[in-house]
Amino acid sequence: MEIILRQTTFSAGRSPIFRCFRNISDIVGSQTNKQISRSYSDVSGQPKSKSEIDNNKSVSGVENKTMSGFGKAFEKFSLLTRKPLDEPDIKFATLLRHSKFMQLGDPQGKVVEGKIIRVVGNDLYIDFGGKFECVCQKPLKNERDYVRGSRVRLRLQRLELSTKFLGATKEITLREADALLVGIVRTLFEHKF
Amino acid sequence: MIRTIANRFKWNAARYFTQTCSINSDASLCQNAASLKVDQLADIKESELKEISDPLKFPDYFGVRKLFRIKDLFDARIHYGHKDGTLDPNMKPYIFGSRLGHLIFDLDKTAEMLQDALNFTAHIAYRGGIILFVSHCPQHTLTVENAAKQAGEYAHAREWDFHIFTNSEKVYNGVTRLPDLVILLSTLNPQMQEHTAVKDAAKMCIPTIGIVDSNSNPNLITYPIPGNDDSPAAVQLYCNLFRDAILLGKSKKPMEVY
Repeated sequence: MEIILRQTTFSAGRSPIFRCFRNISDIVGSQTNKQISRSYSDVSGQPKSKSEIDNNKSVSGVENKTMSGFGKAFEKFSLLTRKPLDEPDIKFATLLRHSKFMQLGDPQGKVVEGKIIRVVGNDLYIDFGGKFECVCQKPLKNERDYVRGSRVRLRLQRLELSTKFLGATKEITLREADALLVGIVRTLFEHKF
Repeated sequence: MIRTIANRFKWNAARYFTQTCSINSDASLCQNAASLKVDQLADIKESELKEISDPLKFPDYFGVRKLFRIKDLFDARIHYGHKDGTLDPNMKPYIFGSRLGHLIFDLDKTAEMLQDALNFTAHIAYRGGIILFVSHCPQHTLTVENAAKQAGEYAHAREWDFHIFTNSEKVYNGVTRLPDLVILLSTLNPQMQEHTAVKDAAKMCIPTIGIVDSNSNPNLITYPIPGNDDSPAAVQLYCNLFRDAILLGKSKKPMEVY
C-alpha cells in the first residue's frame, strides 16, 4: 500500500515547492532518496517562473540542474533494483497492519483473485493467498480454460473450515478454505482458432 | 589453548628457518612463498585463533541471522495460525492476536526462536551429526525429501513406524546410530494427533526442532518454532532455511573431529 505524503518547504518567501514521496522508506531513508525526490519537485503543475527555477537550483545544492530523459529514468529505476538488505527491516506490526489480510476484514462475501495450483479430476485446488487453499468444482462452461496456473475469481465464504462437533471441547479443522468460483480472469490455456 | 600456542611456535620456527637460507633456487623460491604465507599466519591476532578453536564461544558463529528477514517470513505466510477454537493453551505466549477468530503469530518471537534453532542446526552439522527431517503431511513430502537430499542429510516423510527409535536394534537387525537432531516440519500427523517422533525423540534424548502451529503442543520439543505449518510456501521456506543452515555448518571444517 503506497502512502503519499506531501511536505511543503518555503524558500525565501516564494510559493511552496511540493515534494511527493513514494513510500515510508523514502522519508526514513538515505541520501540518494532525497536527491531523487528533489528532482521531482513541483508536482502542483503550476508554471514555473524564472526566479523559482533559480531558487530550485539553490535549494537542491547537490544537483545543479533538474534531471530529464535518460537521467531521470535511470535514477528512478536504480531505486527499484536496490538490494533488499540495503532497506531498513520493516517491523512485523507495520507489515501486518498494511497487509491484505487486515484490509479484507470479514472474509464472508469478499471477492478475491486466486491461482489454480492443482487439478484432480473435476476438482480445482485454488490458492488465493490465505493460509489454506480452497477446492472448487470445475464448471461445465469454458471447461478448457481451467488449467493449472490459470487465474480465477472467487467469492470467499470462510478462510478455514473448522467447527466444533457435539460434545467436543476443541474444534476439528479440515485444513481447507471455502469459496465459490465466480469466473476466470486469465487462462493459461491457448485457444486454437 | 595449549594447542594454539604450540602451533604458533611451529609457525615462528618455520619462518626463522626460511630466513636463514636465502639461496636463489627453485626449492628456496617455494620456501620463500611458504614463508610469506607463514608471515601472514603469524600476524593473525590471538582473538582470531580463539575463534578457530571454539565456535561455541560465539552467539552466531555461522551467521544464520543473515539467512532471513521478517519480511521473508511474512511473505511466506508464516504468521497465519488456525482459528480460536483449535488453539492449544500452551501456544498462547506466541500469539500476537486474533483477527475475527483467525490467530496471528508474533513474528518477532518466531524470528528469535528460528534463529536459535538454525544456529543449533548449523552447530550439529559442523560437528558431523546426523540430521533427520520428519514430516507426515503428504502434501509436503516432496519438499521435505528434496531439502534433505540437497543438505546431504536424511528425511522420513512417510508413515512413522512406532519402534524406529525405541526398538531400533530389532527393527533394523543390528546396532543402529540414531539421529543427533530431529527437525519436525509439522508436529501433527494427518489424524491431528501429536506425531510419535516428538515423544520418541524425547525418550531417546535426541534434541528436536519443531514447527508448532497454533493447534500443536510445544512442550516436548527442544527448540519449538511457532509458525504456520500448513501452507506450502511456509514449508518451502523452512526447508530452505534448514538446508542453508546445514550447508553453512558443513562449509566450515572443524579443526578436530569429535
